[in-house]
Amino acid sequence: MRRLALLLAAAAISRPAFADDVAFSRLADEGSISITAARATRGSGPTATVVIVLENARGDRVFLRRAPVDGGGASYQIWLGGPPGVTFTRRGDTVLVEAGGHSLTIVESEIARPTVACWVATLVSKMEPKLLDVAAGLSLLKEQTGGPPMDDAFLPVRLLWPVAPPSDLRPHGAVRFQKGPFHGEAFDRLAAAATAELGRR
Amino acid sequence: MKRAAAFAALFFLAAPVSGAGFFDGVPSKGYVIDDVSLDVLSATGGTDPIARLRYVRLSLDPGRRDIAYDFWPQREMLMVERATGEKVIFERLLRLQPGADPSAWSPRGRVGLEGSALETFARTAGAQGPCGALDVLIRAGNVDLPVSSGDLSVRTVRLGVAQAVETAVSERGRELVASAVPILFAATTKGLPAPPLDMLNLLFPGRAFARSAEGLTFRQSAGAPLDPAGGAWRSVTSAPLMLPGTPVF
Repeated sequence: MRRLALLLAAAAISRPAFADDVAFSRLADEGSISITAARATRGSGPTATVVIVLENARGDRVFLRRAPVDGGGASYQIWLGGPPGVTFTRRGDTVLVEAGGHSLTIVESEIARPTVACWVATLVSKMEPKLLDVAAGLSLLKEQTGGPPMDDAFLPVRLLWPVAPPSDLRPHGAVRFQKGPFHGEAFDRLAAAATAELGRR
Repeated sequence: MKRAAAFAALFFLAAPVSGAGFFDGVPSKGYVIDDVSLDVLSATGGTDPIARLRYVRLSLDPGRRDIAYDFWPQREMLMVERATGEKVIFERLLRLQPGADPSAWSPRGRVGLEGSALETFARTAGAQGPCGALDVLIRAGNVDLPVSSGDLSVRTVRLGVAQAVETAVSERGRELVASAVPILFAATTKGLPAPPLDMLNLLFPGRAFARSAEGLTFRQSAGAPLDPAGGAWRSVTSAPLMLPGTPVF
């Protein structure tokens, strides 16, 4: 009986608490621009952890990770290559922006003010110089599609867009948003990358 | 721990936006236009002054004679020495000749304390980059904070400036500034000007300093005037050479 209880306990530990949900989408123009997104979700509602991996045609990846934080609110990370990149922790109407051991507290609705934009751009560009360009490029592409608006997990992109210089991305023709499912080894790798980041703390 | 956190919060902007020191490029010789020294007495404090004040306005010699004397730059120094010996100076620079680059920062106001200072700079033209449109620079210790003068009511800006100031100036130093303000406003009745205090709106945005002081009286200072080049004042400001009269061309 005791052995059975131990086996059941071990089985419960080895099973994931929630089934991870992975969804794909793609943004592409009529030229060479193509961005595939894998979105992995664990849990639901405000306590959900969400990881989005964006990959361009050259294989460069941008990671976005949204997770709840103790005491309420949520943290949003964005990085190129490897974490930690830049972290935005939202509590109420303020957002703590952290990068490279430095931080800045901003009121979210003031992001477009010249001074606030300067401070955020300075902090981010010193730690992740390409991040502002990436945010501007993503926002530009998203603006040109009829797809759904960027949701909560895209907070870093939405906050960095107003402070970023105009994107030099030049889409050819119409930019289309396409929802998955997609199948193939490349998508499996992308899904695995997103799922792996779900459990990271 | 809180101070360390605040320091980290704004250290990212510590890279020198303007590498120049406040007094770099400011003429170091001036002719005295106004010079007022006062003792501050408290109705409850006996005959010993609770503070001594000196206000000096100088016409700074630009070192060239193609500028009429009336257009020379000016420096105002408002010195406060408490009975405890603690010192604070409020300084303002006016009419500085614009440099070759109008987007370069030019010194404007300074609060000097023993061991720390708060400084403001301004520029007349924007520059390139995400901070290029900002027209004011606040230097608090080793932190440079560019700010738009139109954003002083913005909460993020108030919070950021307050953090920088708290990090750069000790609590006692900030108390010294705050306690000097009502004295100096009261002293305006004796001819001391208030404009050198205008920079407090930049350095402490949103803070309402007490302006009225009850029970204070002023008398012409009986002792030697406060000397910015003397003793501990040397750590509070960069003393100019102060000459009487007007220049002989």
